[in-house]
Amino acid sequence: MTEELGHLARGVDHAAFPTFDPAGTVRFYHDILGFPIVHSVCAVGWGPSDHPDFVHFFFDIGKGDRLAFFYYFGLGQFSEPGQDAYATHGPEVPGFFRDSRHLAIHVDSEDALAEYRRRLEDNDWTVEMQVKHETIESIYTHDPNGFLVEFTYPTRETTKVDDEDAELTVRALLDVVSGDEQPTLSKLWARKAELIVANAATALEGQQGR
Amino acid sequence: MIELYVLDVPEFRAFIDEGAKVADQCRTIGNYVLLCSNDTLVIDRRQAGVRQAVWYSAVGALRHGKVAQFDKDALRVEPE
Repeated sequence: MTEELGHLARGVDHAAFPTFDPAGTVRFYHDILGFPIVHSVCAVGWGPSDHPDFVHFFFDIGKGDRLAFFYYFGLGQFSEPGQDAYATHGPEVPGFFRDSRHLAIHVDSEDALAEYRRRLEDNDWTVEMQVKHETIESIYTHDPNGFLVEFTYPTRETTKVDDEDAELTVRALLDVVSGDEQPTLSKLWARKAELIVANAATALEGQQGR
Repeated sequence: MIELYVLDVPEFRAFIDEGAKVADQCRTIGNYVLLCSNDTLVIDRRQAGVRQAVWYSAVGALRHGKVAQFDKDALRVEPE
C-alpha cells in the first residue's frame, strides 16, 4: 500500500506540552539534566479569542530534536497536581490548551512539507493550518485519536543569538512567576529589558577591561 | 522614554525597519535593536508587511511603556 510513497519524515522536530510550573520544568530539564535552552517564543495571544499571552520555550534533547513547553499567562489549572497533567480534558478546556500537547515531525524542505500536505488532502484529510513561524514553517492536522500532529521544516537555522535570547526569556519568566504578583507578559518584557541592559553593561565592562 | 527591544534576526527585520521609521532613536544593544520613543509609538502591521504568527512575537522586551493595542492592525505603545 505504501511502497510507492517516499518516506520524507526525519524524526522528531519537537514534542510539546503545556506547563503550569515553568520554574520546576527549567530546574528539571536544564538545571538537573543539563539540556540547553535553545529557542523561545514570547507572544501576545492571537488566533482564538480565548488565547492567552504565552511563552513557548525549547530544550535541546540531542540529535537536533527538541522538547518544548507552553506557559500561558493567567491560566488556571484544569486538573489536580499529580495527575498525568492534562491528557484528558472535558469540553470546558479550550482547544489551544489541548493542542499544546503535540508531536512535530521534522522534514527537510518546503517540498517535503508540500508532499505531506498533498498526501493528507488527497485522502480528504483536512490540513487545518499552514503557518510560517519564526524559524519553521508547519502544517497541522489532528490524527484519528484527536492528537494534534505537525509537520515542519526549518526556514532558517537557529543560532547562538536565538539560544541567548531564549535563556534571557526563561530567566525573565522565572523571575516573574516567582514574584508575589500575578505573572503577565508585560512584566516578563519589562524584566527582560532589565536583563538585556545589564548584560550589555557587563559586556562593555569586559571589553573595557581588556 | 519608551524602550522597545526586538531580537535582531531575519524574521523581525521588517518589523525593525518599520519601527525605525517611527521611533525617535534606533540603536543596537547586544543581540537586540532598541527602538526608543518619547511619545506614543505606533507600528502598522501592514505597512511593515509582517505575517501574523511572527507579528505577535516580535516584541522581545519592553519597558517604560504600556501596550495599548496589539492586534492584527497595529502595535501601539503609550508612555507609562
